[in-house]
This record gives sequence, C-alpha cells and structure tokens, in this order.
Amino acid sequence: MDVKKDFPIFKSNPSLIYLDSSATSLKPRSVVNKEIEYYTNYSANVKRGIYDLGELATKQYEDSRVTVANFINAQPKEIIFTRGTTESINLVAYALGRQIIGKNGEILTTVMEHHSNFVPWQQLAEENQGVFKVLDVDDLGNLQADINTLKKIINKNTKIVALTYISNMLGVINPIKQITSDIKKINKNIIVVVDCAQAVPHRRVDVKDLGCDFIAFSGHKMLGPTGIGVLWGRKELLEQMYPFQFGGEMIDEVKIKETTYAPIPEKYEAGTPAIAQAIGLGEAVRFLESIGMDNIEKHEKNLIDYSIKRLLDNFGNDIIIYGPKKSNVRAGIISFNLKGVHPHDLASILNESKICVRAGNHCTMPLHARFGVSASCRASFYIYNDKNDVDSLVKALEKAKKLFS
Amino acid sequence: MTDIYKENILENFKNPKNFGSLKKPSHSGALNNPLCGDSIIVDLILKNNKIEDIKFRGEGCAISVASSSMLFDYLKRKNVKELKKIDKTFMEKLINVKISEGRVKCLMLPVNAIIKVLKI
Repeated sequence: MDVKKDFPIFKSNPSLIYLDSSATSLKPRSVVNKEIEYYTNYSANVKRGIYDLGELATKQYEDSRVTVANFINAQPKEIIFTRGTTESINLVAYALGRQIIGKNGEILTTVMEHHSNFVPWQQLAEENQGVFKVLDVDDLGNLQADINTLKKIINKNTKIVALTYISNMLGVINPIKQITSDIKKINKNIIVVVDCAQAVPHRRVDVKDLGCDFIAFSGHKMLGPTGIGVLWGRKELLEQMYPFQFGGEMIDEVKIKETTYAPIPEKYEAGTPAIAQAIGLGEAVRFLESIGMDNIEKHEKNLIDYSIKRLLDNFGNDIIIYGPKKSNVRAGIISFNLKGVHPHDLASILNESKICVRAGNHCTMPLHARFGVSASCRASFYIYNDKNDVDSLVKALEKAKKLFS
Repeated sequence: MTDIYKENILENFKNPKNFGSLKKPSHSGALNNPLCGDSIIVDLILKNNKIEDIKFRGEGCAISVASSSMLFDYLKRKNVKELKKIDKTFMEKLINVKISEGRVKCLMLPVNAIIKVLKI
C-alpha cells in the first residue's frame, strides 16, 4: 500500500514510525486541504445565511453527512455529528438512557470497554439506582458472550447493552452481529449500543447488517480531523429521544412558555457545529473509499500476523502479548509487555528511534486489572504502516531488553 | 544511546534503596499515577519534624523507582522543611537526568506521594 506520499507529516518527519493510530490517525493532504479550503474560501456558518457563502458551507456540511451515511449504509438523517465517540455515547446515555432505565433497570457492558463506553453507563446506573453488569473475557481476551451466558445475565429488566466492536487494547474483534441477534432473541426491547471507534476506520461497517440500535465513532481515528465524531441511531429511536443540549439550530419554534424541536438530525446538533471538521471528515471517508475498506482490512491482517510472529520469534517467553493470536479475530492492534521493562520506559526508548507507541492503560483500567497488570505497550497499525515499521519496532525492543537486562 | 537511562538510573531501578516497608510507621499512604497505572506506597517515621526513616514499595517505571530510591535517601534524617525546596529542577539535579514533559509525573511521583502522606 503506497500511501505515505499522501501524508504530509512524513515529509516534515521523514524517519517517523507511527504506531499509534488507535489513539489518533495521521491526516492525508486532501483532508488538511479540505479544511483549509473551508476557512479560506467559504467560512460562513451553516443553516443560517441566505447568501452564497452560507449556502455553500451548508451544502458541503450536508454532503459530508450523506457521504458518512453511505459509508456505513445508513440514512443521512440518522447521522448525528458530535465531538467524537465519547460525546456520542454520552448523548445516548443522557438522551435515551435516562428515559428508559426506570426502577431497577439493568445495563450490561463488558470488561474490555474503553472508559468512554463504561463510565457513562456505570454512572447512569448509579444515578438511577439501576443495576450495572459487566461481561468478562477469557484469558485469551475473547468476550464471554455466547447465548447461554447472555441468557443468565440478560432479563426483562435489561434496558441497554453497550459493547465494543473491536477492543482498543486486545485488538479482538467481537462477533457483534451474532451477539446483537442473540440479545434481541432474549429480549427484543434491549437497546444495543456499539462502540465502533476502532472498527469504522479499519473495516467495512454496515449498520443494517449489524442489527444494533446505535453506533459511535470518531473522525480523528479515520484520517479525519479532531473534534468531530458520529452517532448513528435508528430513526425511530432518535425521533423519540430527549434532546441532548438546548440552544440554536436544534429548535423548531421558541415561545416564552414552550419550545418545539427541530426534526432529526438537527434536534441533536445544538449550536454552531464543527463545520470545517465535518467537511474534513467527509473528505477522509472519500480517501478511505478510494483505497477500499477490504484492502485496508487485509493490509492490517498481514501486518498483525507478521508482528505477532516476529515478536514471538524474537522474544519468546520474555514477551506477553495480550489478546488472541489469530488474525481472523484480531484487528491491527497489539498490546504487550516485555519482561523487566516498564511500558513507560519502553515507550521512551522506542521514542529514541522515532517510534511512536502508546504506553499506559489505554483508557481500559478494568481490562488491565483483568489481566493483572497496570499498564502495557501498544502498537497499532494503519494504511501508512508496513513491515519495515515492524522490523524497526523489533530492533528497538531488542535494544530496550539489552539495556534493562 | 538513551540519554535518560544512565547507569545510576538503571542501578537504582534494579536495586532500589529504601525499598520495603517499616514496622511502625507514624505516617503511611499510597499514591497512584493514573497516566501509567503506577502506584507507590510510602511508610515513614516522623519525629520532631525530622524524617527518621522512610521506605517505599510498589510498581513503577525506571524513572519513578529511581527517583523514589534517590529522593528518600536524600530525605532521611532531614527536617520536613526540606520538602519545600523540592521541585522538578531539584529532582532532575538529584537523579542527574533531564526529563521530558511527558515523564515529569514519573519523576515527581515520590515527591507527590510524601506530600500526600504528610498532608502538607
């Protein structure tokens, strides 16, 4: 995959080895230019000005919504622009969760969630005297969510199940379609919320095929700008939910004593939105589509197979790799610990070789606790990575091992 | 290579001084570094504002362990007033390493731990 030339950061940092795309991805020139174009040529507000620039800004903003909708096989009005995955999930917890949790309502999530799909639900349950339940993983990192397990945990009081498509630590890909279908078989009223932050950038996601009720993802992890994300929800749910924030753009009519709200998606987009970022996200989707999501998935599978092999061959029992070793259930994320070297020290040493990795708990403290560690090192791949990057990683890890032995 | 992993850092990491626990501490407490999940537990005996003895245990990176090892060695048998002058610059001098912004929390972990334990 020859795309490095499309990413200006490699021009300003020629020896950069960027292995932290799960935290945030790099940006192609076309996305950067698209944002500059907005700020330079038509930086008007959207849905207000009856003048050419305002109308052009509105058109570009709405075109982006259509592009994103088509990308995940949804209707444009089901696409809510948010600040990112975190805000998308908080929106559901606030606007729908509070409405449906009721007395003794139960929420189920998993131990492998990013804090953004864990804490909002934990707090929602706590504030409403609800019940908060957590699905476990096995020692390999596979989610324990077969139908028999689900039958024991889910009941008529279960209101929401929130889970991730791909774990940002383990890289494990959950069989979301199967799990969602099993959940709905047990109790068809359960709302299924899927964190797709690590999925939408790396594989084809089709919301109709998944069968869930909401998905959330971030623009900045899929070559797009920061400050923009998406909540997709079923139209009928979005129509009946409370508004999330009140203010401009989300209203229909305001009188002294009452207010009626705009139809979806505006109902959930109070205030001036992140216009340049939304337009940039549309451009990022076009870039991804020009490469092809199936090609991206295949490319990352090859890299992960190669990395696991090289790491195990070189470090054997001195390395602990978390998550399943088979690439058919794993995305391009690999978290590990090297015996005797703290992940923070590893990251510092890798930095000397211009290798960027994440070190810490990756916003998954319950999952790290599940594996009995407080931190790990994480390398994550995207379209601009290749086998040379993996070789450099292995070489730098060897240096670290030698230094600390 | 690696500027910050000098011999004294690695030596203090592999064989930290003042590591362990005290039988009858007058003050004891833990501090977490949420950034990396490190945690440090500090026991100390304070007598007439003097740190008679101090020990630490826990899990940490080379920087936080080495800085704990060296700081507690320095503080032993000193008046708690000494703590006032301990800032980032002091700590860098003490462990003889220049620390990047991202690792300052590791460097300052023992300082923040002792401040928390002594409630000052």
